[in-house]
Amino acid sequence: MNKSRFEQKIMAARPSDYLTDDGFTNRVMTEIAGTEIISRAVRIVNVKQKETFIKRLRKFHKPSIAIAALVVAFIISGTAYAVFLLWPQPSVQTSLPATTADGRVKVSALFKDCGDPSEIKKTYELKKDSPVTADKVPQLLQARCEIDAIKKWTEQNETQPTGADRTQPYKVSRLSYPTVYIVESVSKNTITLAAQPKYNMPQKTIMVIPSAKIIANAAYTDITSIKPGDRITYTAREISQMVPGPNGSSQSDGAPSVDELLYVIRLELPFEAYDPLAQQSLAQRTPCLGNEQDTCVESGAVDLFQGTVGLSDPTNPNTGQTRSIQGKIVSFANNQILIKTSSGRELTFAMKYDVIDAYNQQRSADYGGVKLVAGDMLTITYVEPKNIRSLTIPQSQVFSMQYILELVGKSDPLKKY
Amino acid sequence: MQTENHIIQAIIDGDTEQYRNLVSRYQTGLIIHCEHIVRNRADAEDIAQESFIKAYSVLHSFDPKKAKFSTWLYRIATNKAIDHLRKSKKTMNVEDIQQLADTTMPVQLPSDEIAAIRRAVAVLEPPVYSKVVTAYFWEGKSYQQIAQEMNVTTSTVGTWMRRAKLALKEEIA
Repeated sequence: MNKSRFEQKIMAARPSDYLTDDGFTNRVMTEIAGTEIISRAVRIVNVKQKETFIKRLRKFHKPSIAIAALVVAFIISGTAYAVFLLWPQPSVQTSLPATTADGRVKVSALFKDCGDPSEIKKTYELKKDSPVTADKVPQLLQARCEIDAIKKWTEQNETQPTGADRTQPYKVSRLSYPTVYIVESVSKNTITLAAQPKYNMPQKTIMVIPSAKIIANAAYTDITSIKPGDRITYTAREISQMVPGPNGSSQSDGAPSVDELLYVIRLELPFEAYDPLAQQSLAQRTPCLGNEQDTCVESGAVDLFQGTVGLSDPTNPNTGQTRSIQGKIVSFANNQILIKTSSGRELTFAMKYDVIDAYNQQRSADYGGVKLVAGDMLTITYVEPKNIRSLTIPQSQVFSMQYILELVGKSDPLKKY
Repeated sequence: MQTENHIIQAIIDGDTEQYRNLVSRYQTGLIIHCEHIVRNRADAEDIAQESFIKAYSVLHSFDPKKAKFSTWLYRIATNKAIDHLRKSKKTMNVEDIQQLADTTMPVQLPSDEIAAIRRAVAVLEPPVYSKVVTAYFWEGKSYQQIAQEMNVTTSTVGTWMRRAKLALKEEIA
């Protein structure tokens, strides 16, 4: 093979989920936007008109063109400076969807200003049988990013009451989770939210008290900006009455009561992007804790084994290291479970009894008859002594062992990932 | 998923934002292609950027029956790179340049060959070889960026890359 073919081949084998330089892409897109007005106007007229248009443009008084251009530039840039944004514009850059070896759609995304000012790269897989198609994933991630940005901003603005005497009943204030609703109707001081039968959520009306802030496009506005059909979320302060329990613990005295509506926030994406079922269709894949060369998918799981070892304090360098690993079962026999991780490593977990067989025989019926076989995915959290890396882990070091589920809706039949 | 021709048609119909997909898809390869010709990373990035803008402005003249978009885009970039060399008065035979340019034109490979190449890259030893190949050819990073990230000199990156290529050639040949 000559040199040229060789380099061409490496480039042709580039996986599509590698992120590209967004700065470069944005520069190109900005340049294009600058040329768009004239080029599109020229493109849609016929050839004769094109000549006339360009001739007219040439004949036009040049200082007038310059002034007009300045006015347009002022108007365009002015909109960016005129609005004070309560939180930075959250953005998600996604790679083109790729397919994993398991046949799942995979998308890498770069999150920016999603409640965190730094750029964070994350990878997601679409669960099998989910109602979402690959082309919708970027929108789902953008919605997730926006909700995270809103949640972070509202939390920053909330002050917690301090100094409660925890030997007496006391109150704890929390912010409600920003659930997304569709607006059914709006009056001067109420917003009625449509029922969502899919989630057993009845229609409800919220009172918009004078102190509540209405927000659209990350800027304060008023209730006239909310229209039927809009998607909104709201944040309310919830108060829980806590009662002291034994050994200094406390417990809630029933469901929290809504104390005060703080914010009503209009959202710009269609409801489908925020739909909980669609959001639950995505499983995030992250580097495994303490085994960063491998990736672990985050999804529902069923416990197979709970050990007695305690997890280490990750901030204490003198204690052992807590690690998580995920891998497919290669074999299980003689109390040994061999798994193969995403990077191709093989780890053996030497247990004191046949954990998988015990589950299959005794507990599987409780979980829809799901039985484990070679090829199924396990997540194991274990603790290793400081500076020791071993490919065989004894049961005494295993904190937990679970098998991963491919669960979209909570009431879906159990299915292995 | 939209095909490339659908994306191009959408852009011609006014959905400018779709062009982002094409820029993301081809920028890494196109910058390497230009760097191959002009031997300067910064110039290569400028030429690649100009090529994307030029391609956009004449996209309505692109005929998918005559060529693939990638081939068409790379030809625009090759011409721009040759213009750049002329302007900078670097003497080089145009035929040689054309030959050089052909070495980084995009190709399509069967999926089993792609899998074999990815596997060969992943198992390169020592792992730094895999890292430099991945960073340069797939992540689109310059030697300078790779050197900074790995805390080594640019010439070390060059040495690793040469050795990695040698090792890969044995594997993929």
